[in-house]
Amino acid sequence: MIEVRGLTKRYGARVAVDDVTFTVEPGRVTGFLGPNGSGKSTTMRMILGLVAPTAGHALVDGRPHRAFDRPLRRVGALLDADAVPAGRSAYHHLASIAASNDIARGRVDEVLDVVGLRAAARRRAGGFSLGMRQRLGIAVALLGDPPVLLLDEPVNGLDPDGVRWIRTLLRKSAAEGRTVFVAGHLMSEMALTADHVIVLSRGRVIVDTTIAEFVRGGARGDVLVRSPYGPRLSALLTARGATVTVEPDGALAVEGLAYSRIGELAAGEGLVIHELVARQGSLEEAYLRITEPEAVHRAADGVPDGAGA
Amino acid sequence: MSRVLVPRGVLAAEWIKLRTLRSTYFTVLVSAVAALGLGAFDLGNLVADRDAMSAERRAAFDPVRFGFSGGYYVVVLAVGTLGVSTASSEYGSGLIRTTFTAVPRRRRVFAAKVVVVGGATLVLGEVIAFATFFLGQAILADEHLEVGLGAPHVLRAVLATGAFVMVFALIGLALGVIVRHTAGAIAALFGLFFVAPMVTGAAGDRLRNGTLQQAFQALSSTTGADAAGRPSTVTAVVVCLLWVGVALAVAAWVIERRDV
Repeated sequence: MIEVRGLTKRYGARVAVDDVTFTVEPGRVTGFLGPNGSGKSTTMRMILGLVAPTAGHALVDGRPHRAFDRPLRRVGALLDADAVPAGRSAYHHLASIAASNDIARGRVDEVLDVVGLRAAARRRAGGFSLGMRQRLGIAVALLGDPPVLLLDEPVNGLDPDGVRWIRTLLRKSAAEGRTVFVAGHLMSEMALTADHVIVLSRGRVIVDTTIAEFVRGGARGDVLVRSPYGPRLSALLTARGATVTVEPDGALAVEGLAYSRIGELAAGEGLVIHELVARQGSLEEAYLRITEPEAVHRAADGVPDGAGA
Repeated sequence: MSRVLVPRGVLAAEWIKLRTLRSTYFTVLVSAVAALGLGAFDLGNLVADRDAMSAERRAAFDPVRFGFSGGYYVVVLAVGTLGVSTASSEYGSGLIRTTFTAVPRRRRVFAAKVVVVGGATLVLGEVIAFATFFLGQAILADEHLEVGLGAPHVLRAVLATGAFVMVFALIGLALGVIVRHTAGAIAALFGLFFVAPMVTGAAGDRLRNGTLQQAFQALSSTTGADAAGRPSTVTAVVVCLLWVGVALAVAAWVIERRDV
């Protein structure tokens, strides 16, 4: 379990993380979403004691990260896939990290097998592709077989096979009762992996709910209607409380009435309908709708993405 | 005490990092070739031109120090650069976060680096210093100019020359932690060695004797404090300890305080 309470980080006048409070429960995958520069990475680094908070605190299984003597056995983290030693082999990289936490050397071979890097283990990590670097970073996170996993953008640069592999790994880890906390900015990917979602925007938590709830509450559904009697139909539906928007091609986008009710109303007035489609809003749309105004605002402010992240 | 300050596992981790870095072997090779090659070259020239030497030069000739001149500057700088990069490369690549996530008590990491880098460069420095010394004396033996390790100040000069390599590597390591950028830290280190004596020279011998280069020259010569206004052996040792002590203390202080 990860408990974050009132966590705040200021860089001069800029607030990167603003009074953030949430709990990441064990036994499920919690997605940590937000546009680039929204404070996800800074929050994760504060949880790991790399960045000192201006206010608030974060606990991992009830203790601050610094209190752990061999923390890799408690928390495994992937922060930045590009952080590989250019001149060292994957094997020696893992061996040095394992040694620092008194993890047996045999575990290095095990994690190399798990991430599928056994064949490349003796090659210089500097020559790895981004996908291989991600796998190496995940191998580091898994070294101590920790009950808490904290991964920042683990699917970046992975091919479709790799994406499926990491999804399975995360689901399996959660099923084993581990706490799995995954930052990302792709809602579509999160929808397939996460049970719970925390959305950060401009350093603040704007959503903290289950994926199911997020879809229900956030995703807009409407009905697309094509009819030669557009204006009359529009007036009729508006009179019944619907919100009607005319799309560029003349079709009507109707919100607030079920498609069956629209069909009945049109039939009652003898209005011909050529097409009637119920459109389900996607999670991606819901996510963009809540974060996009912020992203636009951010661009207008001239705040660089990822600054201080 | 070692359990508290530097757990064995953290020490082992730093040792693996050092010995699996290609630049480590490159440094060893460059150092050995420079020290032995340039030392032998200088002494060979000297032996060949011996008849042309003036009486004063012959009187001031230091058979130990002479072999440690040109090539040894390359050794000191190569090993200093290695010291810098053991810290700065981790900051540059972002690996420092992985390191500190694994060992949140950052001073343990720093202490382990000090022990590993210090130990390795001390061994390297002494091996090269003794090899250079014996090679040099073999060349000088042709002209019967050689001295033995038992002669006054000779053992001290050879030992101190080897140890200075460690001093410089540790200052480099500290600068790597403080500056966090390889190029900047190396510039600072070289500036400390080459520029500081020139700048302080203008302010007089006393200040100039506080620089590392003067200390190195004094420690590697068998004539001790001579007419050239060099610091005494004791002063030179104190100067080295002060520089190392201050550099390590500042690095240990900032390493805990900064966000990574």
